Amino acid sequence: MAKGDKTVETADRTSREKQEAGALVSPPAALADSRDGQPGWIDPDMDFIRVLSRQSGDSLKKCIQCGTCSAICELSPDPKPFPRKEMAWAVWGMKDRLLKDPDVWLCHQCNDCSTRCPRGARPGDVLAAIRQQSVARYAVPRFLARWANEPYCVPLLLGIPIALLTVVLYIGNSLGVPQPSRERIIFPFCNKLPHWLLNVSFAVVGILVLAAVVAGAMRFWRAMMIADGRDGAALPAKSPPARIVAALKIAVPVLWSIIAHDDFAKCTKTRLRFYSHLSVLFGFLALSLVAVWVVTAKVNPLIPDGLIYPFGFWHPWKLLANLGGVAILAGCLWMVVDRVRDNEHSGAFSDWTLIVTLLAVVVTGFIAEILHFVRLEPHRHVAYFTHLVFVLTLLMYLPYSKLAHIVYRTTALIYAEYSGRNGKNTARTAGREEES
Amino acid sequence: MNAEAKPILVIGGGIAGMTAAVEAAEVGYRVVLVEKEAYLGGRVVRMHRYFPKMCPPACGLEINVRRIRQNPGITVYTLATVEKISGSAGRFTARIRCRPRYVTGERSLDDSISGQLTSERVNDFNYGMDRTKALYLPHDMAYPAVYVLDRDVLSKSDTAILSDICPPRAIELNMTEEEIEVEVGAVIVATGWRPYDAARLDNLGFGRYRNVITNVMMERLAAREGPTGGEILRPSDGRKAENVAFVQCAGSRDENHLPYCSAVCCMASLKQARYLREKNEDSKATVFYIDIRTVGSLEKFYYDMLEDANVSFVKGKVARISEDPQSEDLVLDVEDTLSQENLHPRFDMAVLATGMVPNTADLEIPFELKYDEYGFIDGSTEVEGVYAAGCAKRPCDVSRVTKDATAAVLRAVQCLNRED
Amino acid sequence: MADKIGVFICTGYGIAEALDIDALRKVATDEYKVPFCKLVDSCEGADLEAIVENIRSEGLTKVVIAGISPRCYSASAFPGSVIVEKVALREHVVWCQPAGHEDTQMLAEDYLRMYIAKVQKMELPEPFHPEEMIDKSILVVGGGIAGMTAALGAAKAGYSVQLVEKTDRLGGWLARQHKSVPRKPPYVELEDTGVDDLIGQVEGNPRINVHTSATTSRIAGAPGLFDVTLESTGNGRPAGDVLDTFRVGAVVQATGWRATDPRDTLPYGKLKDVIRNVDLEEMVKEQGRITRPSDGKDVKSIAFIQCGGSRKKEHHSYCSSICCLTSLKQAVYLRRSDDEAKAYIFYEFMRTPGQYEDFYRSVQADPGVFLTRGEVTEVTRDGDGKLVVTARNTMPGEQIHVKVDLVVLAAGMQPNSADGEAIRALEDARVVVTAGESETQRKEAAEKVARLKRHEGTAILNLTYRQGPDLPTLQYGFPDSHFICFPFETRRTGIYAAGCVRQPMDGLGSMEDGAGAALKAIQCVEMISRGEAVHPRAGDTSYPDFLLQRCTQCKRCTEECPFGVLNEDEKGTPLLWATRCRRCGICLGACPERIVSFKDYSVSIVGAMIKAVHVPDEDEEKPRVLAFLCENDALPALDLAGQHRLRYNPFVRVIPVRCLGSVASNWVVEAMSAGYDGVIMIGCKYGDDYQCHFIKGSELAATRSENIGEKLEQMAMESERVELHQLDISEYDRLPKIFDDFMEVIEEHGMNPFKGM
Repeated sequence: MAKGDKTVETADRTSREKQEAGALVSPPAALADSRDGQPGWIDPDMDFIRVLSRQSGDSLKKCIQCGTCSAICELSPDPKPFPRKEMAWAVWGMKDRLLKDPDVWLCHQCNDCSTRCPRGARPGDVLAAIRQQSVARYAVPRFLARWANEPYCVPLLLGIPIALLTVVLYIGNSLGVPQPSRERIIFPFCNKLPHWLLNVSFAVVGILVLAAVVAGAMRFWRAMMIADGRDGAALPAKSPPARIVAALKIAVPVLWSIIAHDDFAKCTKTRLRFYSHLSVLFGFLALSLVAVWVVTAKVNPLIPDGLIYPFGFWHPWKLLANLGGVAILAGCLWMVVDRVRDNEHSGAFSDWTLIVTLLAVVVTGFIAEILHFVRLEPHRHVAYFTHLVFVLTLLMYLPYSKLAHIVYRTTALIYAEYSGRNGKNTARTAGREEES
Repeated sequence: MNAEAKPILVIGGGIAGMTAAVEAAEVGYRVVLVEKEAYLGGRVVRMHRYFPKMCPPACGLEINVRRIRQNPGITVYTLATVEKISGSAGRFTARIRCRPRYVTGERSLDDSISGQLTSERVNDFNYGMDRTKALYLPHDMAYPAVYVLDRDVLSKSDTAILSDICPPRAIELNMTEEEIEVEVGAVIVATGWRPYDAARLDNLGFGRYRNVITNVMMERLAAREGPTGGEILRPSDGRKAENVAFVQCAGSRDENHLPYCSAVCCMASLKQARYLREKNEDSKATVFYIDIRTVGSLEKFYYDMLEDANVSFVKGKVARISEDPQSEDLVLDVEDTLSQENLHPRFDMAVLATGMVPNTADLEIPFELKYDEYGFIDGSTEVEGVYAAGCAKRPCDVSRVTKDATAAVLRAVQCLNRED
Repeated sequence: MADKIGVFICTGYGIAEALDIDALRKVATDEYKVPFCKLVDSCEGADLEAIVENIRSEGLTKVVIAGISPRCYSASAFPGSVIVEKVALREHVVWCQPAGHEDTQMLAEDYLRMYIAKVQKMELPEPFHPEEMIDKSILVVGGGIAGMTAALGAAKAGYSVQLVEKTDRLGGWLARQHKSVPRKPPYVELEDTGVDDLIGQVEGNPRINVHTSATTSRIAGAPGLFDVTLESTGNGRPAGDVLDTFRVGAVVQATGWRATDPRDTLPYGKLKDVIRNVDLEEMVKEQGRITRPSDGKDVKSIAFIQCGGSRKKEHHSYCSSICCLTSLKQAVYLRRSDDEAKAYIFYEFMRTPGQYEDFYRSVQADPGVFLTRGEVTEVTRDGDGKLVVTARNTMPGEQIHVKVDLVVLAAGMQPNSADGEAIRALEDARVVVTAGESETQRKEAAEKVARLKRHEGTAILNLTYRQGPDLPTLQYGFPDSHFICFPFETRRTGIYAAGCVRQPMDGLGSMEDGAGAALKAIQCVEMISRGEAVHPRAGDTSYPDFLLQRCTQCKRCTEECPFGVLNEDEKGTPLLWATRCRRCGICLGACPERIVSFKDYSVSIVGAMIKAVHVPDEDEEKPRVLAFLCENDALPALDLAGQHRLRYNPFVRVIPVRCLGSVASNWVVEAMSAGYDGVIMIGCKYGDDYQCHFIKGSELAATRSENIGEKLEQMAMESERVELHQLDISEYDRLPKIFDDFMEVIEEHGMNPFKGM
């Protein structure tokens, strides 16, 4: 133990150095939690802890670092496994560290860890809460992400698309002056919906969303690079095409395994989740595909002389859409059952909003479709309008709602592949065969 | 001291009850000691060694038994349970039910006699790891040293020959259950504990994999009187266990099982690691723990174990045990939280450090008492005249139990001497 | 009245099948001419009642029952006025020897002879009652939680109590605590210490006489007759003034603990804002808030460093067992003071046994409490005056730094005990330094003085015992002797340690300890007032008798008695304090002049047993080995060997002894001159983890047996003819080999030349 004065001075210098170093590496947002973000300096962010606890059912502080969660987890790599270390960082309020951690996204929340945790610390839910926080940090613009997770913002969040659509319809409507009678209001623009305008506006929103997504993903990627001290490091290859090839080399297998749900398959707690998520994903992809097709119909060379819209029932696109709808419906109902059954893990707010929105989209979609076929006036238009509202909601808030995991998890998985983080656990398999 | 005082009723003849009985009797009070098993000594008599001195429990028990034998003030009822306690401090009435032993004790038997029988029973003294004859002495140094006859397993042919092979008056086949009422002045509850049911730890494979055993079974494996004659062998193939995992907090400190800490398991496992190292020369022991809780001067024992290169410690709770079907070796899944790595080590055998469940958890004392949520008697709420001692109150080791039992006697004595 | 000896020989248990009962009977009737000898079927149940009836009707005063092991009888079976000895023909002969063999017969007959000879010499012990009345009041030294509980406990049980506290008020550490950790379900809420209530009860109890600012400057006498002198500590009355003198029957030492000074392990004392848990506790107790010593500002963050003084090899390698709880508790203090405050706890192992785990869990749940395993490597002052704590191998990272206002070290417990024997040794050495004969002697003594100097002036009880003024201590200065099975036993009869002076423990534990020790004290005064021995020979009414006119003042008895029973006069003659005695007979084994004897256990009684054995002539090729077995462990082990039908050498003749330490060396000599070929002694394990119920009996026997070896060589015999073995009660299976191996040794050396002389 050195003498007081001497150590003071050394302590000062080292800390100053660290501060300077820190200033370079930590993104502006990190300044809030003081020296956190610099190696080893911890000043717990208590608000962050409180938020996490609230979102994970006040469980996180119960962790005693026994490691059960890491050991039980089928997705966790052997070296530096998660979620134990994440729990430690969470308990110590190390926000910056956590939001730069790809492992948080390697978790598919099967909650094997939560069921086994001897303290009821529910690591699975804590990681979910952390993921929500990182979405909130990297999303552009941030305030939307904040709203997206606040129950009291729901009316507002729904209001925006409603307003948007009304405006669109209004503009699209030939007679600009609102009529006194309710009928008159709805009717005029319903009997001739300005599809082109709708498509345009959806396309515009789509493009904005895409931009937001890309921006968020890039922020996140950069943050992870910094945390790993790989800042500035790039893909080995030099020439742009070579880079793309290299990038694809990494990305494609990852994307493929996401489609194939390899990781989901590993969760021992329940197979149900595997199928439900699989069907929702495929349904979603199918519908997105159809949607894109429809929106781009007018300019789409693949469709000769525009397209007869709406499709007839037996039109292959219509079939695909309906199958997609059914898939989502089934999947979502499955998820609901799953969450209701496991009363411990009844799911967070963001979790439910997503499921509900998806259900709303498909249900309204089918209703509109049926009414359309029976030519029930004016209800079919009302139904269709609501359907569009939910579709727009889903689309608009994709980068901020739980749906954002499509982006961030994919990014994280690709990063994990890129950084060689994604180790495989071989030794365990002997065990698991026996288990089953 | 009050010579006219009514006797003290001690419920439970384990180390707590025996201690309470002799300490009270030697002050000069009469004692009624009630034990549900056929012998005194409870859990400790099934231990191979005590930590930290590695001395045999029989040594201290022999002294206590001698003190009981010599003291006319102590009445012992075995195979007995307290059915009802009524009345109030200073003047309780207790109804005691004694199950039939079918052996009178008029004339002592020995294994040359019981050996002639064919019917056998599972030996619960060795936690079911072996069998005894239907006519058996619970263990070598059992007190009372009277055989027990298990009528449920006794075959017809054996029943027929019993009278021929046993000395006259030794066996009483139509012995029946009897109820006794005793007037007592105070009650000491020393009902002790039982090991947590390891089969409920489904992730640890007890009951599914033969080489997963519990710490209480390990005590019997090490004991000369145990199923292996004191050799530490793998249950699956009888090979010497060379590489053994000690799985701490198997049930304890776990909200899915026993939220509290059972207080003795760390020392118990260290002690058992010592058994292994002493009995099987090149054996290796690995202890998987959350915290090593060797409080007080027990710490030295832990430090000494650190000196042994063949004993290693891993900070991490074992999440899963699985078995390699061919070799019946065990594979553990555990994170070494210090090196931050998931490990999947193989072992010959795994010993689960299962915790303590108070016997009062489901078998409450037939009297108004307060319990905590785990079934331990709430020592802080004083019920005049009824005092809990030892593991009926909290998980604790023998030295804590013996002193607590002595303390309980003082309170009983106070009750018998109340001025009112 | 004249003795009438009766012998009962059991024919059951396979004895009749294995032995020639008639020949056996003749041993009693013809050889020893006992007036009454009867064959009985068994010696249990109805048969036993018949035997007792015979004893009464025949007016027998001394009885030998040849049947089953004495461990099968209950004492109450026989009238107290009769001496009854039991021969374990079943366990020690029939079960372990071939039936019908001549050696088996010889063995059985010898045993019968030995016990008849024994009872011939034995007398009924008469309980010891000193001239003065036994005083039944209890002295409690120390007014902390353990002491107060002991005092109150004894008083409530109807005994008067003298309570002595060295400070000016009762309460000890308890009074210096703000709150205590949860003791009742649901074990999460901090509780009031209840110290004022306790003090109130103690001071209000008419049976308790409280002496504050006082120490025991002298405790003379023995259990039942302790004469206590109290001295002022200088509060009010000038220091050293005699405050009071009184007599008590037994003593409870509850002198508690003091906090360790972690100076040499951590920056305690170097940085102002690094304090100990005890300091923080007092701070909160006094001013109700936590402030920085350096600038008096309110503290917003604390780093608690566990084991700051415990569990360090260089300090003491034991755990103080309450520091984890204390730090958790103090973390709650801080958090209650400010919702944004942060408490960091660095530990190696979080130790919250039993239901304390619930308290741990509840503190953990607080967002402002940060716990981690880790080693604190550095505590430094940062520019802004805050402290930077650096720790390694923590859960949040390999190396972390946190900035805090205050660092609290969990200081450990050190017992307030004194090692009486060390103090005495120091005094003795001092004497030798000046009056030692040879230069080397004086030199050695000087070194010893240097080594023991730290014990100077540490005396607490100030007993006037030859073996020093305080309880002897074991590891780490804790004055216990059998802390597992018999936690209150010390090596000074009637003096019981309680609370943290005995072992580190929590408040609840201390209260149990106080109560338990009080009970033991009460038990002690009751037993000695009945003239009985206390543990482990509880109820034994015999006591040693010294034939002092033959005493040579060799001081062996006074030095070797483990319980300090004997004082010395200036000449070195032993002065017996019978109520201190545990009846182990170690004095008997120590005395070269054979002047110590119990009515039922003496040099002559055992001598008679030795001589009773028929030693065959050399040409018969039947050696004889005498075996002294400790009756506490080795003898039950021999019973077990029989129970397991282990065969062993038939030439061994076993004599049970109270303790191997009670084996008189001249028994060995007698045996050898009587023609035995060897003597083997089997007793309890000794050393640090000794199992001897009289602490050092078997160890003493071991050292003595070396001298015996020399004696034999003077008799022109091989020292190898005497062996000593340690055996624990569960090692019965080792006995046959021990005997057989010894027989081989004997065969090597051939038969004892003294045979038939």
